Amino acid sequence: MPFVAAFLIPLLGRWLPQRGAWISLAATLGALLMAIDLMLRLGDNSLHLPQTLSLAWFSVGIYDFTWGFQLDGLSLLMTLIVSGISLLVQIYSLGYMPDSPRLKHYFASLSLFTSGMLLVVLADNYFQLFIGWELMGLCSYLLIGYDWDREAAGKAAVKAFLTTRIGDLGFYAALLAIFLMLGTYNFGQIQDHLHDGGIAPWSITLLALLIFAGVVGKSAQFPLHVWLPDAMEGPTPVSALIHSATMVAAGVYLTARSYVLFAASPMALHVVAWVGGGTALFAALLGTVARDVKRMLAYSTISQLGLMLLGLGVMGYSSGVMHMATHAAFKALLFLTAGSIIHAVHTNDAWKMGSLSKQMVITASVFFVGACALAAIPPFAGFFSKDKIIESIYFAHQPGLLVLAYCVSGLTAFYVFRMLALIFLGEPRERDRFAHAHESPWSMTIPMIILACFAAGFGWILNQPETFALFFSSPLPGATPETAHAPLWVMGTGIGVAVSGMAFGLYLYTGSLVGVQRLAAAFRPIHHLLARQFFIDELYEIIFLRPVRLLAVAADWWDRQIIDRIFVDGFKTLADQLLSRGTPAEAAASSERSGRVQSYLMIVTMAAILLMLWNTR
Amino acid sequence: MTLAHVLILSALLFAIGVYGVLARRSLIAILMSVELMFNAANLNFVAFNHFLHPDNLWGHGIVLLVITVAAAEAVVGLALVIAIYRNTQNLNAEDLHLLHD
Repeated sequence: MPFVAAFLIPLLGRWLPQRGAWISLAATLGALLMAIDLMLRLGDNSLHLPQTLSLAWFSVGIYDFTWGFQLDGLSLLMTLIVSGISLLVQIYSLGYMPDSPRLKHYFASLSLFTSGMLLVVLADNYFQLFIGWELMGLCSYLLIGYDWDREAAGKAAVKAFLTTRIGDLGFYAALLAIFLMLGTYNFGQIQDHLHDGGIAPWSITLLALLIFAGVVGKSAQFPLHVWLPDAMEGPTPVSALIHSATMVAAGVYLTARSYVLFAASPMALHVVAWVGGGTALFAALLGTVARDVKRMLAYSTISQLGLMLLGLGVMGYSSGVMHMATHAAFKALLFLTAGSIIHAVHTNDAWKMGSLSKQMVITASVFFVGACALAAIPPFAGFFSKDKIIESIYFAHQPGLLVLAYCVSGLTAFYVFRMLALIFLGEPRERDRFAHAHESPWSMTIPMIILACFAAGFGWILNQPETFALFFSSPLPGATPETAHAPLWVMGTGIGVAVSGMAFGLYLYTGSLVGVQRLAAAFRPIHHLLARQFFIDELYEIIFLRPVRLLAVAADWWDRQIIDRIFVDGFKTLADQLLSRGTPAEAAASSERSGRVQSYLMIVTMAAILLMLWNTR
Repeated sequence: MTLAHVLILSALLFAIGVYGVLARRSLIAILMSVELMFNAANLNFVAFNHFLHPDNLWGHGIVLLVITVAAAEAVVGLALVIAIYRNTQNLNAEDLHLLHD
């Protein structure tokens, strides 16, 4: 089966890094072409979904583990997205960091990451998915900490890994529970089991919640969101690939994949929706005061992921998944544009930029496209998916969540256009940077342009009936009102909120910025709270990190003072007395106390022989 | 040839290996002696499997496992040897006494 090879190729690319980037590019291109081929084959009906391929792997006692791949609409969509964006990011990286010292490691890690993500989306059982999941966690660590000479990067990488680890604990517990309660890891078999009934509702809820714990970690939802803003220490193409379009979307994918479990448990859905919605609002608020363009994008990602989960949580399967797809396009675009900007002006700080649209026309235009997509302005991509989510909320009769979603939309439009205005419009704030800024090379601009086309048109494409049915058909037997249409005011309010957010952001941040500063001064306490991310990092430091460090210090003290003194030194003096070796200085010269391993071994061997002889008596 | 013959052979090999580990000066020679000990043990397994339980292959299976583990351990050992050489230019076991307090 072709898609089996599609997964293998990026994995192989990892082992030949000395040839540089080309192998990685070729591998990813191969994966993408195969995915496109599959899609085309579906188009003219020579291939039918869902397809599975299973190979026996190993068996432990009563259960046979299989290494299998499953292709259905969701995984095909994800494969296309993952390989496409990975390819574009790699091309971009060639232009962004051609003289980086460890480029081979970089592309090797990127390839490994791509293979991990493909493994996640093509897996047909939870165990395999978990392997890919962990693989991506590893690559995230490697790639964030890529400049390992910088302390900030190293700390950010560790933070990312540990925080997602906490979520992974939940996922691991879910794996155990799945096996105990359902007896199998295979998705298809689990679905059958649930149909047959007989699984207690509380256990389904438990499973769903545990899986969601993993999602919270990987997709950076509250309270495990703290790693994503700091993860911006990594190179920008890495952020584009991992932290906007693919890895963080793996959590959403997992939720979609496990939808049979979630759908059977209203409580779990509730949790998902509210955690997602709450996080979305929280992150959007934080994004409004961001100085650093990448940080804003990070908060935006957290927020949009929250929206996706919100959509899934109100039984809007297709809306959540669709938003994941469109978000991949426009967020990756925005990150790459950010990289282009940073490359040009050598700073992340938006307050040092200004009026860049004069110097970097292409970058400015694609950023504009991305911003419109993010703000869900029709007819750009984000509009279709976000509108779908809002419609799903409406159909689920959740007025609180509806208001929440509208607020998030408004804030989203506001902060992205704020950033646009700060960077591209108005007067240049630092003359030297402005003078030096130049447009980026083709290797960077072409991927951006391609993504811009997607950001613009993807939503429309996905909304067409054929593609819609292909990619988004719900795995549940009952049909949710996906095709029904909400009253027009729902859509209208959404558009209105978005446009007003955009207008407000542009208005405040163009021209003279005195108004903004007065606003910030007037709301100083709120501004401070937001700028410090509600002090959550500090809170975690106090609650979790300090006690652990104290414990470590205490353990060390115990080890040194008490155990070492009594036992180690005690035996030493005891041995000295028994063997009449006199002062320690003389004893050191004797062969038994030399540092030579062979002497020690000799003693051990003779003791062993003596013991054996003793036992034969 | 009986079981006893083979066991004595493997015991001798093992003894030679032990001697090598304790008395050789070159680190690489010590590693080789460790490998010799591994092989002596493997010979034991195969001997028991052949003479006492010819109907199944458990002994051979265990030997495969041991060979794999020995290979991994040799890798680690050689890595250590390389590190030591890079730092001290000397592979003489008598000169390595950093464990001495």
